Amino acid sequence: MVHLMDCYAYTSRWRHRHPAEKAAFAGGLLLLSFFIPLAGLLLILLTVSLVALLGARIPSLLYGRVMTIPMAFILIGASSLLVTLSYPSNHLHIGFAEAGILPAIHLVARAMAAASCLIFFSLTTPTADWMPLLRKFYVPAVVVDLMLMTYRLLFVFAERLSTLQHAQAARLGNLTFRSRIRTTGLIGANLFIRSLDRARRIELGMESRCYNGEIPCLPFERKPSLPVIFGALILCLVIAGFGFLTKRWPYA
Amino acid sequence: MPDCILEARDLHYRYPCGKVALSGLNLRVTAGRKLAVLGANGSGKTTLFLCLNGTYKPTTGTVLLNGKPTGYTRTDLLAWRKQVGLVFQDPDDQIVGGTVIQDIAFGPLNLGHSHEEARRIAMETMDRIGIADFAERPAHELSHGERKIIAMAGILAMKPKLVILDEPTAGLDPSWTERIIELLNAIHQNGTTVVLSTHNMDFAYEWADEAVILARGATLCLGPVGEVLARDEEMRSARLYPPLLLQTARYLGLAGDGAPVRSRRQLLDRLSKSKIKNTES
Repeated sequence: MVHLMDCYAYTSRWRHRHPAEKAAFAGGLLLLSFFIPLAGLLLILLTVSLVALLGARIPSLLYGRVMTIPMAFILIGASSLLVTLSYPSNHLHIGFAEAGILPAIHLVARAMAAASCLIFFSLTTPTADWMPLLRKFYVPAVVVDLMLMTYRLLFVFAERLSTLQHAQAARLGNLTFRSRIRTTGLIGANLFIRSLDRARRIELGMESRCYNGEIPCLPFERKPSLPVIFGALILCLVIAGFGFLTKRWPYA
Repeated sequence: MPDCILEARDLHYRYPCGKVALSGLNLRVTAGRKLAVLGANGSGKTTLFLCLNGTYKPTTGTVLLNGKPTGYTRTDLLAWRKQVGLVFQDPDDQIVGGTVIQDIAFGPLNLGHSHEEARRIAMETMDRIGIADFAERPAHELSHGERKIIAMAGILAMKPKLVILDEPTAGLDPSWTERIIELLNAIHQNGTTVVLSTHNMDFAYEWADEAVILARGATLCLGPVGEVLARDEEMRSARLYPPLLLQTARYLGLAGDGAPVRSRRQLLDRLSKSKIKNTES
């Protein structure tokens, strides 16, 4: 699924927009969603979804599918707020907690609002586009280099892993439970050795291209548009203002 | 005497594990020529290439760049690799950028070009090769052939005087092979010296000016490709087979007299000429 999201991001209609513009919008609302009251959370969810579906034209089916993943976890987590356990007289009593309804709704809304911001960003901005920009935010070069290499090698190893799995399946390595365990172990060992070998070889490859200790990256082709960034921040402020105005509403 | 851009003198290389990969290898790369390095698996081709761009330091022996022995300090290596580009056999060993343009700009940026310049050089290189529309695609979504082209582009963007390619056509379908050969010919025509290793004798015979046969980490013979590939004894000793064209020409008695038969086209021409002669007489 993560792979699918990253793949989609490369073809996104908003890919050409500067990552900083998208980060201002999604990041601003993400921060807000940590402490804004309930009505504000719903407004964030609505705004982000509308921008994602109508602005960036993310297919609604994809957006919906991706949103259901955190939703499943959050619902399970929130449902525990609706249950009370007690031992009145030596036997367990499981009851419905009315007092938990409001906190549960708050929890779901808060988590989904935050998730929608992250999902919006990752469906419009491929990893390879935003990682190089971390340098500008004073993230240490070693960390950025590690992230870039990890991202690149993730796919190399994923490809290798699927080849290994197919090869083992072709030799009937997963017929029984026992052989499946054994096969998994062999694949893991093989992958480990290969990753060491790959690391050594990619180091040679980089040295051949005059690598000098830091992976240089081209900056994003366009400059970030200041009006867009300001627009996004003003939108955040408006939503924040509205959210805190509703603080005295019932259920807020 | 023609310009010798890169020379290896009595190279020995032993891997830390004790395996001897090169044992007394000699090689001269003439500027502006196309050289094919031929040898069975394990004959030392890849180790030789890694020595020729300074990645491995030979245990004993010297590499001479433009007639001068090479040094192994950081600055020496930088200048060396700027002149001698090495394209690895497996493109995944070489591609580091997330997107194609990021990867191709990696070399130029390392050479100290500004961001704008590096972007311009990368775009120019991609334009020249005909892959400009790849620029923003992620490296991991490309096919093997596409990745091989990208790895080559990454080296070509550094504008080396000499390009060394480790089996550039291995594992590619005929149409990709043809594209790669066209590209090699184009960069050769622009004045770049090209060295490559291959197991395809027919391709080497048709494409190269000169050939060198390696066996057990040493040079068996070096010379014009027509002469080298016709030396049956050395070829057999290196576990190589003569190209089909050469065998056919010999079988038909076309080798030796007059123009050499170096390509399919030439063979067909000679055949049709002799056929006409036959019907006339």
